[in-house]
Amino acid sequence: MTNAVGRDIPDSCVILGETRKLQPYRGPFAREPNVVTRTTFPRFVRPGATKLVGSLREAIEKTDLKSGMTISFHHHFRFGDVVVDTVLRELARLGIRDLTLTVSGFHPVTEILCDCIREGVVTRIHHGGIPRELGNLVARCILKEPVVIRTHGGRARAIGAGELPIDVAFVAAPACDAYGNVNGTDGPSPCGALGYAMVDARHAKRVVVLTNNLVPYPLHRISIPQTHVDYIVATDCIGDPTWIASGAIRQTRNPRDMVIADQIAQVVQHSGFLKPGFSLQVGTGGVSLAATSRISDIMRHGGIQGGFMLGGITSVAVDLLKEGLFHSLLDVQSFDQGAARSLTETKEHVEIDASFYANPHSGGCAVNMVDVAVLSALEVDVDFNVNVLTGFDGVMMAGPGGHSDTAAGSKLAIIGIPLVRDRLPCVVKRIGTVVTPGETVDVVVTEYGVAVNPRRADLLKALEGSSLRLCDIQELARKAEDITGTPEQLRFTDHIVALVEYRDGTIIDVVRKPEA
Amino acid sequence: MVQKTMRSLLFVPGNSPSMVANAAIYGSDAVVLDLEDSVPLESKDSARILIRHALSCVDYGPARVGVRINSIASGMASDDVREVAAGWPDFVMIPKVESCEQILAVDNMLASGESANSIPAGSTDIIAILETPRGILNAFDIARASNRIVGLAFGAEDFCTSMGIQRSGEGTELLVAKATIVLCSRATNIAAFDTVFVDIDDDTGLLTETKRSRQLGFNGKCAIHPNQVPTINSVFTPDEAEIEYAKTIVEAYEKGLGEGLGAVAVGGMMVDEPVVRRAFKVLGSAGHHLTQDNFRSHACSRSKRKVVLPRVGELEHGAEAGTDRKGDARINITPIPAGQGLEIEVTSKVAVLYGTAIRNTVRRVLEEMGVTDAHVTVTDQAALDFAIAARTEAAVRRATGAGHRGDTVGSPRATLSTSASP
Repeated sequence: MTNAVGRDIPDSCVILGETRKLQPYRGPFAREPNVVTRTTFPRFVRPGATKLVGSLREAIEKTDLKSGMTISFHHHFRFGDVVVDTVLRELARLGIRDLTLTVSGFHPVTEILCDCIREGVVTRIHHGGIPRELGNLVARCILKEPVVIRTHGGRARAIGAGELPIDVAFVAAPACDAYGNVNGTDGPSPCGALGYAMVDARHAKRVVVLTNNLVPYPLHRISIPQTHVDYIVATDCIGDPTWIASGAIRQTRNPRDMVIADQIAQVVQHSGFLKPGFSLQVGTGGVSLAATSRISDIMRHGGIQGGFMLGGITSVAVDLLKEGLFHSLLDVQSFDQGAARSLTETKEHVEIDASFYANPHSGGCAVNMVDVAVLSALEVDVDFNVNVLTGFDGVMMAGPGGHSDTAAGSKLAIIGIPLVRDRLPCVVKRIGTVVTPGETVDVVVTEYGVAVNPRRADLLKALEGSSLRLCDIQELARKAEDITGTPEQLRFTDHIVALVEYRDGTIIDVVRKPEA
Repeated sequence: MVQKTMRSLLFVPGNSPSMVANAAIYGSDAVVLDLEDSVPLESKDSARILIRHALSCVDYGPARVGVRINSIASGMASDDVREVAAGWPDFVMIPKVESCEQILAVDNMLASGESANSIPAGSTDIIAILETPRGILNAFDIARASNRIVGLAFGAEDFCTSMGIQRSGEGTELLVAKATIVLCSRATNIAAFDTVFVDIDDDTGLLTETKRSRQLGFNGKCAIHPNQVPTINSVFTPDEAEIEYAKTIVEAYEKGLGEGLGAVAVGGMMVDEPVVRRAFKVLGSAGHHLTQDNFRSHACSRSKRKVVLPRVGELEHGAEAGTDRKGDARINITPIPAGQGLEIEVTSKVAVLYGTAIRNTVRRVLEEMGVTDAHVTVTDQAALDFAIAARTEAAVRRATGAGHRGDTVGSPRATLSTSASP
């Protein structure tokens, strides 16, 4: 069947061992929640019982973790994470196999993980993003089922709705007391907010905390409460916090990025949204950070005090809070040490969980309150649909993160993207994979010009007064192909390596295996 | 009457395909593809070829495109002009000009280049870069040496070297030279462009120096890094109040003309000719009310020109052109016995999308150049088509003549910061 963005979706697919009927994407807000599944689990801890266990192995045995189950991890340590590896190694030693692995976002792809996939310890992956090394491995069709890709909000929704039941959640805790209260900010290796782990811990059947910093009861600032935690393992290392600024975060003086950022700031300036109380979410790419700097210049110049900034929080945002340009930060994940520190020091810097952040089937998520979102992309098509997942060769190399959530929730979603990367056209007739639907994208900004979604006639009118070079998105696509030449069409097999779930649980696209 | 001036002239290394291809996206009024200091000696030939291809293939939009050739004294200027004139740049910049004879020499080279390539005679302009005491002292004559001359530019680094002085922050030591250039330009009704600001990370310093340039009377300033362009453009752009006032004057003047009046009053002030001229200049430099374009852009006619490839004889030996930098392609060509045809091997990370296109381009270039038997390996780093064609041509020409057999990879940033001193 064909969905609302014109992609061919199979009727059904085997997910978590059972054949599920797939719902095609019908529109950003077309699907309402209809399931009522109990996704929090009763626990029973007698007075005097201890949650501390002697080893990871003992904790695993106590959780009754068996082959075929689902284990979850959070990605707040990003490329400094060691807990995924530590746990997988132990599970492999215990002979446990056929696991479903779900990590909330990017984590290092190590030999241990690859071996676990090759040897059948991990046979299913439900992730927020797939780094290229993992993408290459997955493209060889060695998993039992297609990977399921979810946005941050979509993952929180799926976990809450019982569509992604977690048997055991493993939490890397920078601080934890003996009864399992956890935060991400205290101790020698702070990673800051624990927004993704909070959702996993709330809904998992069993929760194991690994900590290198066991503190006296009770911990003062509590992100994950004792009521969700079953076992605590003291360990030497939970991850290298100096790496939390790795991956997506890039400060730039790259001239092309600066040109794009400058135009993004002009779009914001003329959009009508830049007024007192203005709220902003930006990505962590070079363009986004440079745009933030330009936007804050305009705010300073015009004496505009903003409202809140949302999302992954960097020290750039912390500085703007301290300066008084914004009055609050809502932080689901801290992107550097400055942000992690600020979370404990500043009461206006608030930790939120992934559901609060972006779950479309919650009582209201924070992305709905955002005025302007500045986002990046790998490719955009002439209907403004965005690919943030697959590379030019059809292999997965990135992930949506909060992209689709923020685009859907914000009043003005701006995509900053170079028209051409090396020889790859980035504004094209047809993109590899649709992750964020064009209906939720308002403006595409390139170094050659700015295209406004025709749905936003109001915006087009507002921007006509600026000095921006406005053009039709078709013109951008033509221009891109003038520069690069017409690429050959990639050919794909019928084998589906990944399902791309929209935030509401419908299927917006699938990733097929490229022909050799 | 109204002059659309060039506020910013962005220099890019002429042997870097990606910088040559992207030079126009930063909003400078002119792009200068450099053959001089940013190109190592052994890559001059392939840079010339790359620039010739770029001039015909890259869309520089509204920006004027110039080429900085090597100085007359270097002995390379005639080769530079012969090659790049075929691509019909809007202007060439000649470094280290000291005399009228040097201008006339380039004038003649351009004239023969124009006639050989069916380009309208006299349509390629010249900007002379003065960067020696002798050059500065001859500025007035140099400015009048040829009808092609549209501007003088100052080069501070070489000037300081020949003066045996250090550049200071406030630039007192350069004042006489700068003022001379501006005076001579004004006296001969051409433009004056100030030297580059070399500290690419010092945004405040750039702003201060550019304001000083404008105050001295320069029409624009050279940029050594794309991030300098917005600052330079904004300093040389009149602010809103200036523009509004100029508009009022021009409107009143034109209304007066319609009514047969030569002088009119605006807000109680008599507006006479110099005031009107100044107003036109303000609007001209603000990009408004463009009635006459002193700086030609051949963009439209240029881009329709086909790149003509020279026919060559037999390949004499193996040769290589291009580098392994991003956006470039390294083409290695070896002669093989007659009758074996063309063997083309392509390595590229974008081969799934462009493998065939790359092969076709290489084959087309070889065939047009008359090469019938050769083994060619292409190591592509996602180069654009014009770069692949240019590198192939360069490799073939190296394989059929004396000269260099490969390009060196210098750090483009390093060569840039130590060098480009128009």
